Amino acid sequence: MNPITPAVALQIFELMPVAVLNFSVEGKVLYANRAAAVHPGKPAESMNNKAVIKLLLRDMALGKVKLPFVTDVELAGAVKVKGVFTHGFTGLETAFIETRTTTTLAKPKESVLAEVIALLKDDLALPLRQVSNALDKLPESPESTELQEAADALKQRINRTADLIAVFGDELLVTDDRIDLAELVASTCAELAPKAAQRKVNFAVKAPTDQLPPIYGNAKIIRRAVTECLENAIQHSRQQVGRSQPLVIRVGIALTGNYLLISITNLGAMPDQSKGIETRDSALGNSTTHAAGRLGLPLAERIVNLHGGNMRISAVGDDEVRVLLEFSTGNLHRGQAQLDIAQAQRYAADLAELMTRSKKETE
Amino acid sequence: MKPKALIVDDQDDIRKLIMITMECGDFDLHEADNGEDAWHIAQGLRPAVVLLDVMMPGGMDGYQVCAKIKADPVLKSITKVILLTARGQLTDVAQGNAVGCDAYLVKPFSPLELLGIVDRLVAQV
Repeated sequence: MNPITPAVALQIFELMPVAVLNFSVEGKVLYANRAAAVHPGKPAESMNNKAVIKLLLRDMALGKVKLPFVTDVELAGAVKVKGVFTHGFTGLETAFIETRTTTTLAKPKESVLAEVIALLKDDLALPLRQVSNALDKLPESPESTELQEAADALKQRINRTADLIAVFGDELLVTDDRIDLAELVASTCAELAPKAAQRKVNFAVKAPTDQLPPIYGNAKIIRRAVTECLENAIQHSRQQVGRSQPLVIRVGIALTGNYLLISITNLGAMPDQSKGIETRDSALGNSTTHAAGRLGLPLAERIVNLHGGNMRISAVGDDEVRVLLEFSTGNLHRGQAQLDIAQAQRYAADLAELMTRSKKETE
Repeated sequence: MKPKALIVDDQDDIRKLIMITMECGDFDLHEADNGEDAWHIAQGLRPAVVLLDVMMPGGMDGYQVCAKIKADPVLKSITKVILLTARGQLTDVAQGNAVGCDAYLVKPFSPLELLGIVDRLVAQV
């Protein structure tokens, strides 16, 4: 491998999304990359021969200020940037590489949300458990079963509301778990099988024939979205539909390869419910009169949207409802800007050092 | 004949950055922006090294492409795979090892580190 030449390094600096400047020991800007040229603070002009910069560079050259040196610099138009002074491209030159502070606005919002969610989940969980325990002690009767079901429904509603607040509150919940969607759907179906059996609804899970790519996202909330859609389908299925009319769940890949699809076809949908579901891309807000639909499906749609996907519901004929969930494959470059900047800074710092080393070796 | 290197990343800027860095070496450089294309190109190209992003759209992610290369009777002995990823968790590294990658570089990575690893791996081919 050849060493990185100054020409190659300069080519790389031009690709950087952050300002890179190179100063002479006297404080003159010898080089400014493309990002510096279009920077709102005009760093090349603002920092060129500026008295305070000159003093700093002199102290750096004399070894009074150790490199790398991180500092804030005020530029034109009251623009402030954080940056690092490091070894310059050659000899006594000094490079300046812009860094950026990340916004912290999301933090307080996140912590308020976390408190609300904790309140919903934890503070209400205890009294609910107490209700549930008290119900367990009742002699078995249709009334106690009904009470138990009502308590379970309330608990589920609280959890759903907490998740709803979380996903509508902030996109920080979207992580990069590597998810096998077919496996996630199969295990969710297995979890819901007792509930489906109780309502005498049959599941038919059609596994994909080929290996599918994974999706990247928050596994917990994607499971929640799938659960909501399946529960909604179970709820709206006509009870005691025959084996010829199961809930059909398919996982596959779009022809373009850019989306994984979950299709839930409810052949046994109750006609009065399916008519309430409008045939449009996002018909969730008033799609059904059932409470689970009012909370659960918008929650599912939001989760799918947060992962760069879409959710579609369509009523086909009088007796069929289809729910289609599309999830993007690959990553959506979430938080990519910060990563790009971090990558650029790493490159810039290394290249500046490399060029200094190469200069010293040739001297 | 120059050894062949295949650079795979769905982000144009990162791919360009790596291409320019790799131009310092004596490589015949090729590129792809998704997993499916990378796999098809690798089969015909038989590269000495593949620099492979993990999270990519399309039919295969980086781990799956790596697994295919390492399962291929021809490629497994001639192609080194370096996974490039922002995923630095231990489980991710373990996943990389499970699919047989030769090196795992977490973004933001140093160009020096990248060149050092490519040098070391290509010398083994």
